[in-house]
Amino acid sequence: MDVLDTDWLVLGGGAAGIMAAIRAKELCPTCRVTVIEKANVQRSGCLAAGINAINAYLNPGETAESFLSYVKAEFANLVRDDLVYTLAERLNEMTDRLVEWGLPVFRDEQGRYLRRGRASVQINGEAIKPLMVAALHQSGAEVFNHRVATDLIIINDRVVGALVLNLADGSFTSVRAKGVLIATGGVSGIYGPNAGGAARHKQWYSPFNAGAGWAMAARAGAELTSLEMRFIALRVAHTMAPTGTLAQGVRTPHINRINAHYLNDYTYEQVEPTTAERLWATLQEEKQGRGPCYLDTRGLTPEQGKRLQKAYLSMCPTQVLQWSDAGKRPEEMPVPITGSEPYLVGGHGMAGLWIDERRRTTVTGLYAAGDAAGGAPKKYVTGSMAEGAIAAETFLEEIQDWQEPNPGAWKVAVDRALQRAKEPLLFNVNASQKTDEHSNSIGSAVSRNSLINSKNVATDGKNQIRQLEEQLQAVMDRWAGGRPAGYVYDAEGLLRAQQEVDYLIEAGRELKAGDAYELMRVHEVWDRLLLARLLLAHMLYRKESRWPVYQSRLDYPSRDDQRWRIFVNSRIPVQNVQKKIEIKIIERPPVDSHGTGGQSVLSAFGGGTA
Amino acid sequence: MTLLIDAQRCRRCGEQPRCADVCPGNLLVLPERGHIISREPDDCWDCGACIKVCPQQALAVSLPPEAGGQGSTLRAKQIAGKIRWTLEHPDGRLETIEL
Ligand SMILES: Cc1cc2nc3c(=O)[nH]c(=O)nc-3n(C[C@H](O)[C@H](O)[C@H](O)COP(=O)(O)OP(=O)(O)OC[C@H]3O[C@@H](n4cnc5c(N)ncnc54)[C@H](O)[C@@H]3O)c2cc1C
Ligand code: SF4
Ligand code: SF4
Repeated sequence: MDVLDTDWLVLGGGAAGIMAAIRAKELCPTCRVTVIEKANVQRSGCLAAGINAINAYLNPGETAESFLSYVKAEFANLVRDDLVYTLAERLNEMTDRLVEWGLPVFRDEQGRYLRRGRASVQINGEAIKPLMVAALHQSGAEVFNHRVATDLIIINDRVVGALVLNLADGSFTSVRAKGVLIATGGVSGIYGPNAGGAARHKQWYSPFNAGAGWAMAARAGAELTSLEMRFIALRVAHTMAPTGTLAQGVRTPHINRINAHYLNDYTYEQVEPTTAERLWATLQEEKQGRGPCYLDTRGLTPEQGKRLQKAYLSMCPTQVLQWSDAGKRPEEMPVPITGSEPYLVGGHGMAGLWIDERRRTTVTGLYAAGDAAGGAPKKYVTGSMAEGAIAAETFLEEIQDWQEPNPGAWKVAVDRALQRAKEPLLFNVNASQKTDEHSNSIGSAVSRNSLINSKNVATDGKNQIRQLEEQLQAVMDRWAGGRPAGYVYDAEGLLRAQQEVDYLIEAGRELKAGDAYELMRVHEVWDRLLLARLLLAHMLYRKESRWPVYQSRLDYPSRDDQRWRIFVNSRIPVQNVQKKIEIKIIERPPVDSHGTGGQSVLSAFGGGTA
Repeated sequence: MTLLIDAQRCRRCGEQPRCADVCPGNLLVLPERGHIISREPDDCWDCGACIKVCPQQALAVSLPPEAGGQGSTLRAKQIAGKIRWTLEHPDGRLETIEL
């Protein structure tokens, strides 16, 4: 097996990972910086299709403090102040970098970036990803595309590298690194999609961000936070296209089936309803039989209709097809809106790896940024980049603490990761390829295999993988507040879901892979199952309803600031990862001061254990 | 199945076909013979990355019927740093939109 030595290992070449690599090379040109990307950095991750607004930017008059109060108000007064504040300080720097790299922006009469909303500016971001990648290559960082990180390599509780699968030939490489950044994005696919069948991946969030980084870090003993705050988006029905372009960009009114402007019928904590409040109001209308709801584009001019087409072509091209399929122009047909399936995503919501102000996780040598990092919602592209930059800066300050791992210990740790990573392949070896060395595992596979068949799972590897994923989604949808359940849930349902997910985790051990792609898919399913199990533990633990729609319980319907204004974190004690999953829940108090003096670093980690 | 592959137009562009290289889901593969195929057509995200890089305009996206699709398609062509989209309406009418 190949071994690669590097200094800064970045897992995931999205907004956060790319900036983390660039920043490390800027500060330390002699350092070796390596980006490992599952697809190709050119179009991988959330930004594949492009975007048309920078959603986290301090417009004139706004400050890091005002950004923090805005985020805090939208998230029931419970966010990581230190994280939001420190990324807010860097938002405009990141936007300026993007413009410097060639991102086309619109400007107002004063030459400032054209404002779209309080914290957002309008751009033409179809090519945002290729532009970032050009800067990445310029930086001198090395990039390995079509490489999937499957596990972290850990020695004496310190992360010292990662194991990587090469999709081109199925080979593995162990990468030894002085610091590892998790920048693999958030998690989709735990809940069922809005439409199934051929539309199963018509999702808003990237269906290819399967939570690898969270699962790897959890297996390494890292703490995760606020998984129970799932993110549910108000999106265009069917296409799952973002609605900000309409609601903020051209200010189309929200109407229900009987043409009433329903937003006015609800009261909000703020003068302008927040994104979550617009979602909540829309779902209420649906529940009361006044759905479907729409964003009414009929007041737009044909010129504005054309601009809308262009805006969507730069971000979610299929939205343009929706109008065309109906035989209408954008200004002739109101756009149907609804709630998406729940996702876990640190860039929009609270869920993610628990990090300190310097973007260190709770495991030495491991950092996190972007959608993978929790506690700082509404960070979006520029906030993700800011976190990547901060993580790189922290890593470089700590690089001197590095000690070369002992070769014996390294081999043991790599072998352990490799054994787990390859397990599904062993089961697939056909008769002629069987070796004595493997005969034991194959024997047990065959007997356990019959268990799988008796449960009616197809024998063909590809279908089996997909079926298990869909079984997980069905369980979560029904018992754990999925879309079909109106997003609400209670303890009884959650306990039932836990039991069913445990069963699926067992069944998942039998999944087989015939090639490298299928092996990656098995790992995706394993990761989703593990994260679903952690998510359920979080949902069960928080006994209140804090975030409307996102975290809303039938058995504890009110918000309880006295008891629950705390972060719910979880961790899997490392010694138990191979056995039945044991989850330890930890309560962390909020840190309200957001001074940059550094005092919050320790206090953020000083919470008690429940 | 929302990615449409025009078997006649695909010219198998190189060792690492451009469309397969950029797909964020690693969905496209080139068999020994013939045109590019998708391993899992239902797993397409409709991001359009592949259709924008195909030099032959052999690829198009459409909405699946499960999501209300009725046959309109989108193709793209890169011209001097710009993208020219061709939207084919269900009645066969073509509309071009340049970004
Ligand atoms: C459809 C959509 C529209 C959006 N629109 C906007 C907008 O208009 N404005 C805005 O500001 N923000 C927008 N956002 C949010 C923004 O795109 C994200 O917050 C940001 O891209 C997050 O960056 P990231 O690096 O954490 O994740 P990503 O950019 O998703 O990067 C994660 C990367 O990790 C890779 N990866 C995953 N697993 C592995 C593994 N096991 N091994 C190796 N690599 C792996 C993925 O392939 C991916 O490239 C949008 C998001 C979506 C999904
Ligand atoms: S990019 Fe176009 S021509 Fe090249 S392999 Fe793909 S479909 Fe065929
Ligand atoms: S549209 Fe996107 S997800 Fe679908 S095959 Fe093309 S590149 Fe892959």
